[in-house]
Amino acid sequence: MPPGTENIHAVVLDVGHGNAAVFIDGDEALVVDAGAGDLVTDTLERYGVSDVAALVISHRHHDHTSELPALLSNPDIRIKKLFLNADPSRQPSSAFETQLRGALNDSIRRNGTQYQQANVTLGEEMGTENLSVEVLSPTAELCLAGVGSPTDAGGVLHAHALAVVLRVGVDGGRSMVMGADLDHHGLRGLIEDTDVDLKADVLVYPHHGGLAGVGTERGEEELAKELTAAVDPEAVIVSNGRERYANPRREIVRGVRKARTVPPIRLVCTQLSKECLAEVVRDDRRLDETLSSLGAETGASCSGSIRVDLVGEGPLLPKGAQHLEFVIDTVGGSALCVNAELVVNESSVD
Amino acid sequence: MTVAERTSLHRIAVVDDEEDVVRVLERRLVRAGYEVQRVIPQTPDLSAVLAEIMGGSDACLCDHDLRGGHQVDFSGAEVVAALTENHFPSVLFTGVLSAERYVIRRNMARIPAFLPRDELDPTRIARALAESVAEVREGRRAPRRRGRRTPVTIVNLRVTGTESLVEGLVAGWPGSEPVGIPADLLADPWRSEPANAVGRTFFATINLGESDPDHLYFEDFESEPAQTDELLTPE
Repeated sequence: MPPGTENIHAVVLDVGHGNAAVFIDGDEALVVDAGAGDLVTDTLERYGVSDVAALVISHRHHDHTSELPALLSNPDIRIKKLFLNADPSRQPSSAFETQLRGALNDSIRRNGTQYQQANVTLGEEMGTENLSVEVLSPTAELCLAGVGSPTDAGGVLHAHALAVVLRVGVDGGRSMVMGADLDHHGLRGLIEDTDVDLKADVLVYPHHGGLAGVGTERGEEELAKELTAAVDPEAVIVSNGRERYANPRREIVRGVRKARTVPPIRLVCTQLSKECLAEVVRDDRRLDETLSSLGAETGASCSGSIRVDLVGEGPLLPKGAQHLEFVIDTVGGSALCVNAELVVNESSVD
Repeated sequence: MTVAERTSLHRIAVVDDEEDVVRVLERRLVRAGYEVQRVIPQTPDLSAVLAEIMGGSDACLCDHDLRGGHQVDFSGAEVVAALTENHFPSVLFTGVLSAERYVIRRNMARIPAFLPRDELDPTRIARALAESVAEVREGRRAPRRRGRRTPVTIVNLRVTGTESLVEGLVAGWPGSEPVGIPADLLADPWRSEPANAVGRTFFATINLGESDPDHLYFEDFESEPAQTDELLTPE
């Protein structure tokens, strides 16, 4: 392990239905999205990190931006660069956008925060000393079209088509693809672009394991299978919530699990899917006690916030074993992540 | 090991204006291994009540409504807030929140633990007392009690009786509805003319990790509204 890379890892936070991830590189951090609650702040505090080299917002939906004004306003956190995905469909006069402008002005005044509002930015500008970042999507073609432009199928491009997808990794170490909420337009372009290498150790699955907008169950499963095969990860993490949606969808899980059966892809959900268990389970033993999880208090967490080690010979997910033990003991063989019949009997894509 | 032994708090002051409630709580706490000091406030002198509690117990369990039948003009929220200022652990409980939620909100930053009356079992009380000890003696707030500076946009002013409330949208708090805030928590000059605050965005410190709107606290409202019209040019 090169000197200085001992403390490089990622935390995919349990923010319910939404996304937030913190990459720790020594005394600096990279933050990708900032969903509900104050868990990005809490994680930075827990690691004693006050300098955020870059904060990237994949797209301007509330489940990815909620904590952003509080992060920018925090007097103990210095955000050096903010990369905000431009989204003409947002409402500039909304209370949230007004608050965001106020918080950004405050951060600029206090910390000299540099900000860039764009769909495509060079990943090199987002990295830290040891973390390299590549912007995989949106493609130049999608950017030129823009949100609201007509598609071949007669629809219009949604903000999800232009969500920023990153690969974050350590040279000689592990890497993660952060799927944001990329929809089928973006995913299709990403998979078919032969110049883009999607390989990574972890895929944070797009859109919380929900639908990509393909329109058919079979099509969703096929797209999930193609995406996962292209990334070829050791683990797929779904950042989901229980309150409004029953994510991850069965067809998505089928596609993910069919993408590679040997060795099987490890599937981890931050919260218990309603598809797996109708009721929550109050048992903190499954959770990483060094991290906070939005679903911990109500028992909604499955893995809860989960750490990914990006360097070293140890397990990719240091708390993965205790999470799997919880799933097997509590949910049993019907859990989406272990259910053999899901792949064999329900499969619609060969 | 009893709950009392686990928490190293042995004598608890139970403060309520209803003797029946005090007796029920006393029975539960004694069964859990605590000694109980009964405190039924009968004087308008808050400092005398505080002295009685702090001189006779290790911690306090206090009802919010203390005004029944006696010459008491302070609330349980004010008692707990004053105890917190004296680094004395305490827990507030209440049966009915609706009419008094803004009195409680005004003091919530200094109410380290709060329980509904129907959750007053020894295990929950012990957990709440432990949180209170951590906050008031060790300076460690539970995650849902940690204050974060964040923008609050004032969207409405409501006057109910003698209470002026502003309603604010809190950036970063998961709830989408405006939250009622006693107008006197605003900084000057807005606290005296709260109607002028409507439509403006202020920074304040709020416990964003709390999911229950009744348990949110607001402190350190800043007097300068946030600059929201256009973005400053980075230097």
